[in-house]
Amino acid sequence: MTYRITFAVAGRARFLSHLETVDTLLGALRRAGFDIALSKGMKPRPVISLALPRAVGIETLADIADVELRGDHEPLDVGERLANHLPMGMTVIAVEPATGKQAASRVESVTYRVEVADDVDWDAGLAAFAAAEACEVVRTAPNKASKRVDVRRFCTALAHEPGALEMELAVTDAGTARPEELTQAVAALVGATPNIERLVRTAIRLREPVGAHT
Amino acid sequence: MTQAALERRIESVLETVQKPSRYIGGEANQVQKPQATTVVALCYPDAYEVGISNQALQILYQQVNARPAMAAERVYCPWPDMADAMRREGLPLFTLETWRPVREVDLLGITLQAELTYSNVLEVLDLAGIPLRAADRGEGDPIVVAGGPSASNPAPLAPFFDAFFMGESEEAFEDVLDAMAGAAGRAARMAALAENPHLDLPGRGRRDVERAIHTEFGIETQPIEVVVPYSSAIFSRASVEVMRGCTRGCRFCHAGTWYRPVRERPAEQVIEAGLAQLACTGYDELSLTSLATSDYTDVVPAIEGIKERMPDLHLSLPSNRVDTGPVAMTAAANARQSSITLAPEAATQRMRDIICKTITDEMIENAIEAAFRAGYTSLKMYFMIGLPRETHAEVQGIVDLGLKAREIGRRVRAGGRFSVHVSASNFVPKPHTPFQWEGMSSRDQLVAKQGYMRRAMPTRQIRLSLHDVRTSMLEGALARGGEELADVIERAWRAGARFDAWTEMFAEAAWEAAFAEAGTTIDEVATREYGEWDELPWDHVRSGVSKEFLLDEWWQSRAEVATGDCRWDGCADCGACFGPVRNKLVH
Repeated sequence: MTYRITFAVAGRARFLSHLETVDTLLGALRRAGFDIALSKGMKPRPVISLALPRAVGIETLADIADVELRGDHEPLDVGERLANHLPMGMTVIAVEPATGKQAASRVESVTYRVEVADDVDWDAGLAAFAAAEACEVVRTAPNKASKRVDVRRFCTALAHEPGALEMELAVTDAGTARPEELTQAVAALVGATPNIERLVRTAIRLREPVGAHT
Repeated sequence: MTQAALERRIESVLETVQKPSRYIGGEANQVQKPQATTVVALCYPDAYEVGISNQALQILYQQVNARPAMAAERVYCPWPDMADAMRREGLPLFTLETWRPVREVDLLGITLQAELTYSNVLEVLDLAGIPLRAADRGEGDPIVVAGGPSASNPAPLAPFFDAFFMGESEEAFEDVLDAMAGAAGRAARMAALAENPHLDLPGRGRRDVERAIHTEFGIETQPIEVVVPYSSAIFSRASVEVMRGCTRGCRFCHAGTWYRPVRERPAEQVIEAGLAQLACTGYDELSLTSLATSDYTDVVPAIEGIKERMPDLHLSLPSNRVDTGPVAMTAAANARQSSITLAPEAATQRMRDIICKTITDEMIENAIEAAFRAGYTSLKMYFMIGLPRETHAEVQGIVDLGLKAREIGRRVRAGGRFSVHVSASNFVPKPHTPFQWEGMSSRDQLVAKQGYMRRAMPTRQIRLSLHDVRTSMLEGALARGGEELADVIERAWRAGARFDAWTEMFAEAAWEAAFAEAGTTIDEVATREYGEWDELPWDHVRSGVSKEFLLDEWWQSRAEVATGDCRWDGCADCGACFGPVRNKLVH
């Protein structure tokens, strides 16, 4: 049976990579006494997928993992036993039976809270951002050519409150924007460079499965 | 700086470095004891992913933490990007468990598993803010103790350590911990350690020291609740040490001398410990470790007992003898594995007699055939080049055996996919072995032999891996060097040498300049031959195996005669057995 585990990552655990997070979840489930189902084929692997990778250093309040366990278990029992074996900084928020396609193929958008210093005129930045048709940033990655990305097209909501930006970024077939890119783009519109103090992923929204009741 | 401020600054630095999980601690089974009155930092002087799986430190971690008032905390050598950031921000090296500055602990134990970590030892001391030289340390500094197999020649690092612990920790290190607990302050503790027969104390002059031996080798000293590394570790699996020591007598092998005699654990204890460790770590793989697990006399019941309880478990048996039986056993233990490793070490019978590797051509070929018949699609074979009295025939023999393996593979696999991987390392003579008097092969010879193998070995279905000659030469120089190398190591470290075992990090120019300033070269020290009457830098370290036996074995190698294994062929009078210390086999 496949379970959808919603979990938070905070404190020092935020420095775990995506792969380390997966392995940490698997190890904790095994220590909790669960038998994880394996994929078919020559090299069977545990059946687990995370809805969305998390960049190293970003905290999350509600990441999602789909994992298939052998046998039937009460979701509450899965959550309680798993919670006892997670390292400091990782906590279980909820466990429920997963239905339909896996979460990784149904991510619609992601919301972030970006804590920033208020030495930028964010309200002016937000106004300029709302008025702009496009807002490009240069994305660089090791061993890859840099490319220009229009982050405006991915932003579905953006708000400022003292000390923080709240944003929602769409996840599409054409990709998505990173919260720090959007923050930098908004600040750049008013000629500033932002000082990001903390990045927290606050929610992952999934598309409803086809045919599901709303 | 308060602890809270220190932690905030560390977190800030972690935002900027590669693989920050190396430094955060908090893994499953980590032990935190903030109320401990004596703190021991255990250091593996390499990156986290290399050091975290080290079994010796796992044993010590359990041993120290078993004492209510003592805490063991781990520390590894920060990668250069982290080290640079720490120096820039003025941050001290810290332990993983509590992010406590290493300088504040009572004892800093550094394991010396390989000579190419020596520059990292100085990096660790410097980042910790501990004076490099023991003579410069004061009451506020921890006692810095080395252990591990490379401590068996303490000379090159002697000025940097307060003490070198010789041998196995399980029983004898208790006296060191007693001394730490029973005295306060560095001077009083050093005085309490002065008479310990297993401690070499360079600052108190040279005296004979004995290797400590875990006589009983009971299962209670096998760590169960081991720290589970984050996934970046090179070994992520449960492991139970089924046997310690090996008396095969391979003349190049340091471990073959240093861990004598052979001691085995009964299968039922191994099974119980393995299952317990799997349960509390969450691993899905178990390794039965030893220097040669196929020699373990209770291996079949151990495998059967584990597979009976966990049929799907990935069970690995490293370091097996090259023969059909061990191949079949390895295949039975783990049907999912697609590759197998055989280590003939030398490809000709003459050279195997020289190095005392008592296997025949027929056994090797049968093992290769058995491996392919068992369904393995990748065969790895390990060899050494540069062995004493090696001729072209021995190098050609490796090429020929690679071709032979391919031929067998083609016949047995009958058109199916397979590959042969030939790996040849460069022989480095080690202290406390029959080859300790031998000089290393010259750099030119090793390069020429490697070049020949590259040209002669076809590439279709055969892959050839060769070790970096530059780092092998340095390893050779450091392995058998004397105290004169301490200045060289410090100079090289000051010029930027660290992580020397990592090819991309190797600072050859720094080492060459450091040796040159001492009026010598890496090659001159590495290729130096010792005479049988010469006093060796490590002569005062008593491994238990007599120098006479090593000398006799050296002569036997020159006569190209192998010596039998005392477990089955009668005592060879090596000197390792005395009183309760002797081979302890289950069957």
